Amino acid sequence: MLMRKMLFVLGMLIFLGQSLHAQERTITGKVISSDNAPVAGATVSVRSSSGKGESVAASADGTYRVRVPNTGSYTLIISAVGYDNLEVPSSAVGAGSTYTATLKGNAKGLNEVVVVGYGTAKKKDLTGAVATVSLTNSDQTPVLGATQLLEGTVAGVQVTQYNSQPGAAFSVRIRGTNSISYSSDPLYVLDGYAGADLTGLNATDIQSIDILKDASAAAIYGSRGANGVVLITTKKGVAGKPAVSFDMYTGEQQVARRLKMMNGTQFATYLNQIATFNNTAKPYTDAQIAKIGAGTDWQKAIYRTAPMSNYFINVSGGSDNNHYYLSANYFDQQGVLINTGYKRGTVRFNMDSKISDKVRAGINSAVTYAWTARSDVNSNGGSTSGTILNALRFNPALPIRDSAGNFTFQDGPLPYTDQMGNPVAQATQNTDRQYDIRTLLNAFVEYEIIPGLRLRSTIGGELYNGREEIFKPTTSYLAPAGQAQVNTNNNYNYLNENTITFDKTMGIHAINVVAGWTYQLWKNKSANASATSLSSNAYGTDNLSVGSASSVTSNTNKNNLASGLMRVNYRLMDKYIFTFNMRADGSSRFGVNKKWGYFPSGAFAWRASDEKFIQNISAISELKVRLSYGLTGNQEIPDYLSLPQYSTNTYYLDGARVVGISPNNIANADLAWEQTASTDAGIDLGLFNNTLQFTGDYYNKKTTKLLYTVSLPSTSGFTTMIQNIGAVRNQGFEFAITSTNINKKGLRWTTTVNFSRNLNKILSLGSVPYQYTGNVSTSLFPSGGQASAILKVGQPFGSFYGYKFLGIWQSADEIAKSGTKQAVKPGDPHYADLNADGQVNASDRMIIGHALPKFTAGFSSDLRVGAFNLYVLIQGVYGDNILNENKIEMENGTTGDNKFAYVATDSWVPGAVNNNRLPIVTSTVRRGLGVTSDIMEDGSYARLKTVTLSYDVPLPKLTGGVFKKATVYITGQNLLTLTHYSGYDPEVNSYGNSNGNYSSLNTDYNPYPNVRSYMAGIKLGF
Amino acid sequence: MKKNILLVTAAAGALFLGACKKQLLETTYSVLTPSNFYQTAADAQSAINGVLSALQPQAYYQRTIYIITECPADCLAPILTQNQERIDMYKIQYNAANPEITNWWQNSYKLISRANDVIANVPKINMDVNARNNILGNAYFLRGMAYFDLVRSFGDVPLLTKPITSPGDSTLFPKRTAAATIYQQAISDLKFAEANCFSEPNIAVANKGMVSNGAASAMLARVFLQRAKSPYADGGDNQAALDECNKVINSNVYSLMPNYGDVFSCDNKYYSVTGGNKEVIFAVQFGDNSSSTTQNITCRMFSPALLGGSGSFVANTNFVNNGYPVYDTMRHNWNIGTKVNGSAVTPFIYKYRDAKWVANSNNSRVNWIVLRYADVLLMQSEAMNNLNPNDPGKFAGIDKVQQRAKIPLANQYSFVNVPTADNFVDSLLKERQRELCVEGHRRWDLIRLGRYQQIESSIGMTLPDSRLLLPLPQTELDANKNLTQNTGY
Repeated sequence: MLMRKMLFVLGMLIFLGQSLHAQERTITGKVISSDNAPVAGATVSVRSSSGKGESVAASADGTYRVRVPNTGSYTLIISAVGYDNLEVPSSAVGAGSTYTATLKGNAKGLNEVVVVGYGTAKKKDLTGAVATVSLTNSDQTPVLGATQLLEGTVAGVQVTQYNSQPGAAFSVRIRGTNSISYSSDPLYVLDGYAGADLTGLNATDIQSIDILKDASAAAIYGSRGANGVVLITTKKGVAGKPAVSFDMYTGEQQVARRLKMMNGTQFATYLNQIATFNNTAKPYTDAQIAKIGAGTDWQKAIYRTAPMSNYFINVSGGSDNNHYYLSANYFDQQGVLINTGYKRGTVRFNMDSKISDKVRAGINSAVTYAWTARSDVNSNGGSTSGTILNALRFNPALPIRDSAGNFTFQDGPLPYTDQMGNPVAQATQNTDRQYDIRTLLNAFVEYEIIPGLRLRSTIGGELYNGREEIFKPTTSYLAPAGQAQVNTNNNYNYLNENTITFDKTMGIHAINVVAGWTYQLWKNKSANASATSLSSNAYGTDNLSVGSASSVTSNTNKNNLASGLMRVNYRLMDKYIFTFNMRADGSSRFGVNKKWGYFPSGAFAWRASDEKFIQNISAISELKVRLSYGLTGNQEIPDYLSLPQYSTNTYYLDGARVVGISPNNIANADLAWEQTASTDAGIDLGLFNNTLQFTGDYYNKKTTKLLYTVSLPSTSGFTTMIQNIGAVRNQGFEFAITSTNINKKGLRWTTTVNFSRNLNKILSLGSVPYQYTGNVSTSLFPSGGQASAILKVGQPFGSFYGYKFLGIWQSADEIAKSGTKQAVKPGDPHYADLNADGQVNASDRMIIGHALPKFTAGFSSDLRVGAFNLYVLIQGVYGDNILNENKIEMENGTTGDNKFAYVATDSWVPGAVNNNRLPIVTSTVRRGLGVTSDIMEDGSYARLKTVTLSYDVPLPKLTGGVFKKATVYITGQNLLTLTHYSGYDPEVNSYGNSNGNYSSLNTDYNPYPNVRSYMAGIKLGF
Repeated sequence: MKKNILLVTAAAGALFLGACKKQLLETTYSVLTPSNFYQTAADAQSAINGVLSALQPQAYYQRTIYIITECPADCLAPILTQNQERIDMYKIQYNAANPEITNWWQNSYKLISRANDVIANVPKINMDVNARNNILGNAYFLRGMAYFDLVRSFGDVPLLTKPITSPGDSTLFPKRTAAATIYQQAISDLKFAEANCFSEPNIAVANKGMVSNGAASAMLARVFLQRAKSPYADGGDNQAALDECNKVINSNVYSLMPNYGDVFSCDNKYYSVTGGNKEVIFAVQFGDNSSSTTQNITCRMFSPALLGGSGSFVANTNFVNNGYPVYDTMRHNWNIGTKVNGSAVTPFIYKYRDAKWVANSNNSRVNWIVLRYADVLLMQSEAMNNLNPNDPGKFAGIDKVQQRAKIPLANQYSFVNVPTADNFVDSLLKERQRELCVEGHRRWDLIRLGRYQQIESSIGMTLPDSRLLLPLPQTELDANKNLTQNTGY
């Protein structure tokens, strides 16, 4: 209903937007490149003696329609990204009503306009490290989320899909991890709206993505700029006849890799082997084993080949003064795990209107509805949780259902195996549904006070309404309690921005100034209710009162940010460019003494290629050197941390619950933002007519005032407090090379390579030299309590901490000779006794791996032959480790769960010669200790991420122009991954950023497996 | 014109940023701050509920209490295959890293900080004076009790009597204060409670479970008795202890339950003039299943697997074999379980039972009794023996407790079977063990009555003098450089 109303209103707006002018004549024509290809979106503007005339954009097929004066001379100016400007005097146009303009390719794209904070700039005038994402092939590369477009394509940006569950978010790190305790995600700015949520954004609507990496560029976003800024601009309509395009693709996804587990016979034999070693009765007789056969492949039972489809339709166009862009998108992805999936519908409407010569106004808006079906993955273990975990560890000798048709629950034989839920029962009966509605609406008005001086105001808001319904009927598990839960979230934020832009060129001096102030407010409301001990499964989550035990919570919080900002860009002779930025941010989140933060930055760029002596070197077509320094901040901490809070608890008086209220923390009036001081030195080099372009940057970022939880004397009543102490450094270099290898008529081949190396080092943790961190599953390590990683001064973030594996104890003799006091037997794993006290305990742990990679790289190739285009993207990560916790359960440690198939053949057995890899199957030493280096693996990989072959069908010719464009394509994703990693996928982190946990990295425990997909698509333009 | 627009714009910007100053102060919704709390009588009640709530965690008066007071003694033992920190307590091998000692310290101070917050803020609330003083009395009682726990556990400890409100607070990194001063603080806090808490019959029905003036008197008696045998003894301690016991006894509010097991009933937890539980003087309250309250894990910890428990603790073998004479069947059968449904199990502490406990869950309603009337009667006897060993009246209290336990007359204590003061100490210790086993007193009783090393050696443990005090937690020493460790650690 809401949707229908919106569409109606949008339709009215488009209708009203049409208007007509007269007294001039119209020229139509086409803008083409030197190889006869249409230049979509080229700007055609008219300059005449009476001043500036109309400016229009060519449509997707290059056609344009522009009004020129009936009398007098004029000039047509035609420009487009990647081409030299073309000026055509009226004499050349002649008296005819058509004119075809041929633009000369300009690979250097210097006049390319790049979106920077609060404005745009020509690429040649940039002083900061700004990367523009190539979207050449993005519309033929199905992506699961807009941020996936950054994966493998931009130097200095690492995108990781930690969770492959449909609808799950990606992690994005720009130049390393700055924050220990809080988010290191970049700030997303969508059409100028800072802090926008990209979840519902349809990638096809994106016009451009620019990434601000250094302080010179990002300081304009002040206290939110420290992790870099991603600026996304959506498409706009161009003047002309309405252009309609329709895209769709459909295909299927498969689990990229399944883990090879024991089959029924192998597992039964394995259980018997354990019984033999333990001198207990064997659970299976030989006759029983003979009947088991392969048993149940539980992974096969819960995984499927899943379809994925996307439909997109768009109408855009407009008159001279009004442009509109309207699109609708429906995306439907079923998950490879049964009962999971994601569906999303988005409607976007952008329009802008020239109200008078001096006033422009417009709006960008989108409404998204998303439906997500989740499953219980990345679970913490235990007897009732984890669909995928249970599929891996459930007894394969048991059938899915017993002879009466009921799910098998007890994966006997007991007591040889643990009791746990049936994964198929869990996957099919438990539901976890998320319903999200997101609306983003941002309106602007622009007033040109005098030429070169513009005032711009925006007002916008983002609304989010989310509801999650979790239902576990009493039939899913052995213990029939059942659970029904409803979580609701209602969030909104609004933003008002007011900026003045001044642009002036006086001889050799050119200046551009942006100044303004902004105000943004966020408010979140949530309420959760849950019931257990359900007396009926009939209601699902629609009547929680069937539960005999329930809990309810609700929460509201609010924060706001007021800012003043300024940027001065001064260009001397267009060769020496200076930028100065300043932002003052006032955030409610910080202590009363630190409400305001100031973030200055300065940068200098030298366009050396404009110097005579460089111009004489014919090989160099472009050379720019950049230097910048500045401060940015990170304010992404929970609300109210600086305040003295009282929170509720309960007590029990006279047999009834009473509510208590108690102090929750010690106030910190000095709580402030994290501050990153960054230096960047970069070079942009274009050789051989810019057919080879190189951009390289060295950076050094030092983050201080880290918001860090410090230990307090508990005599205060509290054990921890958030303070601004600690420091981290990220330094590194990155480069990107774009090379046009062949550029002939009908044949063009370009390749790009990007490479990033970041070194992260913790410089200070306040008064402590180290702190343990990182999650481990308490059900895996029953002695518990030990963390998986260490934060240590001098070491990088994500240092795994545990026991070093030295091999397998081969004989009683060897154990006796070693003098160890540890209770070990032959076949047990041997861990290093670092302090040589004869024990192996917590003080014998060391750094056993690093979650942060040594470098990441990406390679893409784009080959066009006639109407065919082949695009290939390869992406890789080198030098990181992954903590594979699955091995505790499925390799050695827990005896009663199903095992990897190789455990049957590779485990140590008495009398074995030099088997130094896997402990004897009965050993529980590994599990008893905690994190050990023998479950640590190399996480390096190289991945054939995307291969797309497209063909431009000559429909436009065949249909006489009814179709303006017709392309069909096939694409495959994640086709091949080269890695030594043994888990589902090396791109993994089971503990993600959930629950505010930012310090557990690269940990693998029953994740949703990554998928390989094959799609076929078609794109039509009318 | 253009200039004006610019000026107006700039002025608007300046105004806007100025106006933000107020906007940037945070508005809270789901938490309270000092600006909107401690306003009404209801706030005062919520605040004291919050202090009481600090007693409930497993890491305090739900489980840690008996790991600190009973594991290093002769009634209870942890199973020796898991939870090294419990085994270390049992074997007197605890060190500064022991997490249970850390729990004990941290949660004592958490309770103190909450009490300090009430003591600092409730006096300014405009409300009925008696009601306000009663709430303050509760806070003073709990603070005094926590300081008493700390001083007998650790000796010199930091003394904080005001809440800490900023990271620059001078008391954030306190030094240790002399144990004698801590004892004085505990006594003066409890005296305040004695003077201001309602008497049990005057506590509103809805507030049953709060601290009474009788609880303060009983706790004072315990403090005086303990201090009397410490290096910080005051000459009047034993008389003061006797006076406090007599206040409780002579108030005629409390009495022994006729049946020993009824003391621990989950269905009759509260005092009532017309009946109810008149023996329990103060207990940490635990809620029932399905009430969104904290419930007690103790049933699960003590019960063997056959009952649906974890069997994490068992009855000390020495206690099983030598604890009860054959005629003491009522208390033996209630306190020690040896069979479940006819099957023999490792003897376990069966004292804490709840018919509504869901097997294999943490959820039992069992209260942790801090003070009860039988203890007051035994303390009266102890104080009298300390003052005048020849006073025959010293048997009165003990004998009442023994009569309730249906001890044959001939076996009840008298000069005939307990002729000397020294005999009396041994017999009193036996009686206290039989009556009050695993109620969180044993370690203190053995230290106070001078038999700790002897008893530990009888169960095979070595107890150096240094172990009479616990070590300060290492985490605390790490976080506060002003602290020093106890000798021997």
